[in-house]
Parts: sequence; structure tokens; C-alpha cells
Amino acid sequence: MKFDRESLRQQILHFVDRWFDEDEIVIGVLRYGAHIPHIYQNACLREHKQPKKIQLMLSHMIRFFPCEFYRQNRFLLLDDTVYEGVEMSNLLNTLLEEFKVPRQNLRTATLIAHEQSEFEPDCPKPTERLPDAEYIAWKEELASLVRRDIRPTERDHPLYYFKGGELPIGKFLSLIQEFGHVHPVGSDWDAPVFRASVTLNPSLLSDLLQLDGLELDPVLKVRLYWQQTVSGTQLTAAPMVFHQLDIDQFLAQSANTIESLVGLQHDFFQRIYSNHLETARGHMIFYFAGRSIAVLMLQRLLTQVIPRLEQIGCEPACVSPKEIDGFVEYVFPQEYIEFYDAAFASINGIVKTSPPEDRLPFTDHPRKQSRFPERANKDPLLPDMYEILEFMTRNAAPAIWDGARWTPNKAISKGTSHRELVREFKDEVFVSAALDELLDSGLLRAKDVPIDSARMHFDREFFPGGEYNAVQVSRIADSWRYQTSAVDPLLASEEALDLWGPY
Amino acid sequence: MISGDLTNKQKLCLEERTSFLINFTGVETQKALSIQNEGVSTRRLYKILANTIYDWHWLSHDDPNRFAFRGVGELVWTPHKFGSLGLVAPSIEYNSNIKLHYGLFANMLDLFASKEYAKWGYREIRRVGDERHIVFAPFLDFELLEKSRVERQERHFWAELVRVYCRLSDRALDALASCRNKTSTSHSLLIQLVNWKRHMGTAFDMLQQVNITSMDSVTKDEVRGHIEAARACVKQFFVKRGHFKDIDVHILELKGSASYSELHQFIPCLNESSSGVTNMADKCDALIDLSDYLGALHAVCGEFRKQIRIDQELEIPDLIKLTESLKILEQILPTSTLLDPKRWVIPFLQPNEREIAVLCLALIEEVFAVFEANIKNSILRPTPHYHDVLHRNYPLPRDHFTKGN
Repeated sequence: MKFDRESLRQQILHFVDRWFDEDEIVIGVLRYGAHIPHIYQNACLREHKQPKKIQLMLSHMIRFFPCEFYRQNRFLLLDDTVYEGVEMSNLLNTLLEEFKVPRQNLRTATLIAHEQSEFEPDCPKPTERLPDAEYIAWKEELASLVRRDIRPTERDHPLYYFKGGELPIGKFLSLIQEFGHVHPVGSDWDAPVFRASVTLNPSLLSDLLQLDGLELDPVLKVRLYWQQTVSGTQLTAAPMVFHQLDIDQFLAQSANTIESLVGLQHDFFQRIYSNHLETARGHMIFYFAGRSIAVLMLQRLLTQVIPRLEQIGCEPACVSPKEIDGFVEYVFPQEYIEFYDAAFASINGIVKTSPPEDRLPFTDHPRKQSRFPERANKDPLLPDMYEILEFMTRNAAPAIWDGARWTPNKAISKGTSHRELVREFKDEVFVSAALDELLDSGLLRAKDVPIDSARMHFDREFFPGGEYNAVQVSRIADSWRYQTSAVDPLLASEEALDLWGPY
Repeated sequence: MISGDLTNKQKLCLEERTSFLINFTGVETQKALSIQNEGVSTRRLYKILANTIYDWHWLSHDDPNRFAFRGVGELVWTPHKFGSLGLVAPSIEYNSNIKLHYGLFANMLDLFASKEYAKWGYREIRRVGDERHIVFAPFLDFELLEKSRVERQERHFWAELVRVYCRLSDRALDALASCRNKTSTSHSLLIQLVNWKRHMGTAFDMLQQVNITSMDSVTKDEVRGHIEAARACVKQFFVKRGHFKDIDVHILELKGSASYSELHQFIPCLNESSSGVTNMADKCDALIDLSDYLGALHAVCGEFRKQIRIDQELEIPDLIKLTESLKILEQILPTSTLLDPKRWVIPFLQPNEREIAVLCLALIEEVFAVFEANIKNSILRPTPHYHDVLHRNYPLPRDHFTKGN
């Protein structure tokens, strides 16, 4: 069975038309589950069809909502595929047991399932099941479809959208290269959306590096998505920081500072702590603290970028997410709406008022430099970035053998933090570029996790990918661990000479 | 292989499949021939791969339900001056110290310096006479086999193919790799012309620049190397012509080797290619018809070789052979003033080596222009030729494979 982008679009279109109820709230499981509604919407628009309205929640925010919210609504848990059904089952159990949602108010849906999966979704009926190779092929084709979207699959990071006049890719890259090291995300060039990350000078946030309760890694980055359209240029920015948080200390000493800088109400974080359950409040504070710092970083970057864009005639403007999301109506907790409104307002203010270029928040004009030593290529063939997978899997195998089959190791409880990676590889830019690639390809996943039992200290950790990616992570780690012996260069050159001649 | 729509992960998957298939081929060959201690010569390995690759593509294309093959990694069937080989043409960006010949082909021994290829447990690479042998692992654990992305049915049939081909004689192995049908024969003959022109042209180009008597020894060796390489190409041209003529004999040998294999009735796949921009099968007869003219052209150049005494042996140019060869070429260049025998014998007698070199170069160009017109195909330099073969005129269907496999 062969799959291509068009057949997948049609499959998604028919699936949503047939099985979705506009009165249900769709909970998108992980990345692609949350992106299916966008693919559906784009497919409808291509065919000049009116799409169904879809109310969409993100699965990593389910504890951000109060219990009453779950009693009042019906939900459709949506994932693109089911391999063993772990994520879907976990989500279902959380809703049933923690939030006491009646089972009749919950439906599970997936486009395809692995033939070995024991999980049976509620819809579609019958579920399309695929053997291993077809399952992977379907998944890879979906990834290819997703990469063509200016609305990326970032679910953990708020997105900020911009549009403007013509901004050719060369000018765009030259501009951002002034501010830090730029690397592309992925090497496939045939998608209309170009993806890149810029790793910024940490002095951009020097005033925040010493805040109590907050340990900020000296790595700031913005993932950027650029697309040329008939009406000009579209850009999406996903700013990211890496931090650890001590909730108590942060609330006591630093929360007000962040609230004031971002433009949040002064008791924003305290209200979260007071109004939410223990199982949620620590994570929420960690989430909003990190995303607040990230948006501060973006604001400061924009104070320099916007004037330059205007100089080259780009005339940038902010775009509200609702414009991008169209018929996909996100259901966010009140705190998120409050946060994003404040962030959007301040960014919009910067874009509209266009500060003069020389009003810089820091003294040194950041330049693109080789800040970090080049990593010596350790293997003639394997890209260096995959060595991270070897490091991360030293203490826990990502896949286990049961005598007949390799399966993902579900017992991995401890991930690897950004700080641990930088300590090991000593090259923040390398780690940044590698994480982009590995997350984008599904070989890694990222989660905000509590690092103590009281859930008062949080960090962001990286885990090996799930499903079939776990086996590939295991293979790659095996390769990296293998101790090669040198091939006699004389033999290699004799072989080359024999086959190809000396010239 | 246009890799613009392949992600880094897909390219790595291709490389994983490639490294597995090569090691698996070596292990199965060693088992079939009980040569676990000696290993497999690289030349033989390439020929086994070439044949296996050819059948792999067509079996799965013609009957995808019976032969559910996902891909062949980055292994490619490659026409070569030694006869067609199975080589690696990577899409992944190797780190800088792996050379890609013609910008396409990795040296297999360089690959075994990498963890990805070495991890399957090859034991060593050693020199055996004039050849290199790879001593592969004596076996591969089932657990490891299952961890690879190559599925059980793929491993079963790949092993079947390898076991059949590895038992063939060198001659049959080469014949089936290079000339099993008109398409492959065309490619195999064309590559000899490409290489002959390149080598002989380079040699004469050097000889027209500097008089042979003034040449330093390094440059002389280079000229000699090119002339020897060209000589090998002509020899191989006629060998391949012979293979095609006697292909039924070699198919019979294969059927014998496959008599206890479930693939007996299916191989060798003899499908002519319908993919690609150019129909190479149509050119086979025209290429074979060029044999005499290639031979005559080479003979003319050969007399010059004797004239300049590039070899140690003291051979004297045979002016009868020279003029007879020119006469043969008149059949395809009836109006060319280049073939006036007086134009040749004068510089031979003077002697004026530079003039002869100029004449040879001009003759090569004129004759090859006729060749191109007859076969309706350009005869390019090796680099663009190989790019053309892999990207525009690859003789094997590959769209039916799963992308990234």
C-alpha cells in the first residue's frame, strides 16, 4: 500500500467529516494529534469546502483546567496513530479517574492503528490497522505533510505570528544571523516552509539570570518558520528557554518581577497556586514562568529586528492566532488566555511603534561568531548529533527484547535535562541544533517534569522517542557505542585505485 | 537519488539498511561457501550485490504481494569498467573524510571505518594476493536481525538470492550482472566507451602538450596509466559483447545454482527497463555494431603507443595495420580528410609525435560523434554520465519501494 500526501489529506478529511461532533471538545494527543484538525482545515480550504468548527485542547494542558470544566463537556481524544496505545490509555485514565469524567462523555479516535496494538479506539469502526512497514510509511508521510504548514506542531511553546511584505530568504537569514548562530531544522528543502533556529546571546536576559527560584540555562533560542506567499511573507516564532524552577522561592521572590516585565496582573502566579490542585499548580507555574521569560526574550529581540525589517521595506505586523487557526478554536485555560493576551499586546506594541534601532537593551551588538569550538567528527559517517542518543540511553535502554519482538521500554522514568546535555557535550550550539533535529524527527520527546515528589521543583527533560522510534534510537545508540578498529588506509586506497583509477 | 524531500532521519534509515544488507550479504556468502575464515573478496561482493540488486527491484515490482520488499537502501546497480557492480551511492552527508568517486560512489572499505557498518561485527579487511577481502561476522544474532528495519521476508529472500549468486563462476557472475538483457548490456558497453574516450583522450591531450622525449617520468607514467586503462576498456567491451551473445549459457548455470531455491522459476529477472528518459535497450544492437570501429580506432591509437615507446617493449609501429584501421573507419567517416593515410604516415616517419597526438585526438572526436549519432545518445565524461545513469536513466524501477528504505 503506498501513501502520499494527497491520499492522507483525503483520509483525514473523510475521517473528521464522518466522526467529529462540533459539540465535543477534541483533545489532541501529543504533536500530531493536535495537528490533525489543522490538516483537515487546510484540506477543506483546498477543495473550497466549509470545514467543521473544531474546539481543540492540547493534551499537556489537561491538568490546567478546573474539575468543573470536565464535568460540563464531552471530549474526543484524538491521535493520528496508535502504536501500543500508551499515551491514549494514560490520557483516558486521567480523565476517568482524576477528573471523574463519565465514560459516555469520552470517545477515543485515531486514524490508523498498528496491527499489533491491543488498543481499540471508539472510532473509526472498523479501525484501519497497518503492519509495521506501512505504519511507519504512513507516519512519515504525515510528518511530510505537517512540515509544509506555517503553523508548526509546537504544542508546548506558544507561537507568535507575523506577516509582512516581501522578505526574501537571503535577507531574512542575513538579518537574523546578526543576532546569533542560525541553523536549519531538517535538511529537506522541498517544503514551502523554511525552518531555522537562532541561538541568542544570553546577555539579552542578563537581568533575569539571578532571579531567586529560577535557574536559567545560558541558552536562549527562537525557532522560526518562514514562508513566502503571494501576499508577502509569513513568519512564525516559537521562543524557548531552558530553566529549572523552585516554586516556593519563585513565588516569594521573583514572580512579581516577571509579572511586571511581561505585563501580567501582579498576582498572576499566586492565583495559579491558590486556585489549582497540587497535581497541577507546580507544572502551571513552571510552564508560565518559562514561557514568560521566553516572550521577554522575543520582545527584546524584536526591538532590534523590527526596525531592520522596516528599513528593507518589509512592514511587519502581528497576526492574531485566531486568523491562523481559522475554524480550529483552541480551548485554553483562563490563565493561558491572560498570559497570551499580555504577551501579544506587548509584542504588537513593539511592532507598531517600531523603536529606533539604536535603543539596545545590551551594550554589545551581538554578532554571529563561532562561540564554541567545532566538534571533531567522531565517526566518518554518523552525524554527530546522534551521539546525544547514546548519552541519553546509557542507563536505560529505549527498547527491550522479549524473545520475539523489540518493544519500546515504557519503564523509563528519568529523562535528560538540557543542562546535563550541555555539561556532557560542552557546546550549547551543537546541543541546540541536535535537539531541534531529534525532536523534529520524533527520535526525542520533551516534557515538563517534576523533579521532586512534592512537585515543587520542575525541569524540562528529554526522553527517547516512543513507538518504532524507540527501536531506531536503540539502533543508533548501538552504533555509537560500537568500538571500531581502524581500516588499514593502504587497503582502502588500493581498493579505490583499483575501482576508480588514480585520476 | 534526489534527496530534497528526504529528512535526515530518512537518510539515516537508508544508511542503516545499506550497512545491514552489505554485511548480511557477506555473512550469507561466507556461510554458503564455508569461507568464514577467508572472507569475501570485494570484487566478488560487488558482483553478488549487483545481481541481487537487479532481481530485488524487479521481483518486488512485478509481484509486490509475494515479494514485499521495502527498499534497497542506497545500494545501486552500477555499470563499471570491470562489469556492473553493486555499490553505495549515499544520500546522507558523510563527514568530510569519505571520498565520493564521481561525486556519487563511496569506497566500501571507507565505509567499514564507520561504526554504522562495523557494528555488524566484521572481523577484518585483509589483502589476499591482488585483492582485498572482507572477513564478515560468522553469523548475525536473531535479536540483532530483528532490530534492523529489514523485515523477515526481506531477509529470507535476500539470503536466497545471495546464496544462488555466490555459487556461480566468475564469468557467469559478471555476465549476469552486466549483460543479462539488452538494457544492462547497453549500459555496460556504453560505460566502456565513456571510459575509453576519457583515458585515451587524456593521454593524447598530455602528449600533444609536451613532447614525449621531454616528459618527466611521473608524467610519462600517467600517460602510460591512461593508455593501459583505455586498453582494458576495449578488452572489456568485447568481453561484454561476448557475454551478451552467450547469455543463455550463463542463465543455464544460474538455473542450476538455483535449482533447490524457491526463486528458481523467478530469476534471473530479464525485464527491460521502461523507466528512465532514454530507452537503453533499443541501443544495444547499435552499440554492438560499433565494435569493429572501436577496435579500429583503438588500433590506430595503439600504433601511436608503439611510436612513442611508452612501454618498455620495443615494438615498431605497423603501418599496414595503421592504414587498414583507417580504411575501416572510412566506412563511418566516408568524407573525412582525417583518414587520408598520408596524413598519418608522414608524421610517423618523421617522426612528429605531437602531430600524431593531434591527429588522434581529432580522430577520436570525429569517430565518437558518429558513435553518438548511431546510438542516439551522448557519450559524456564519466561524472555527468554516472549522474545521468543514477538520476535519469536508472534501469531498475524504484518508485514502488517505501520512501526512506
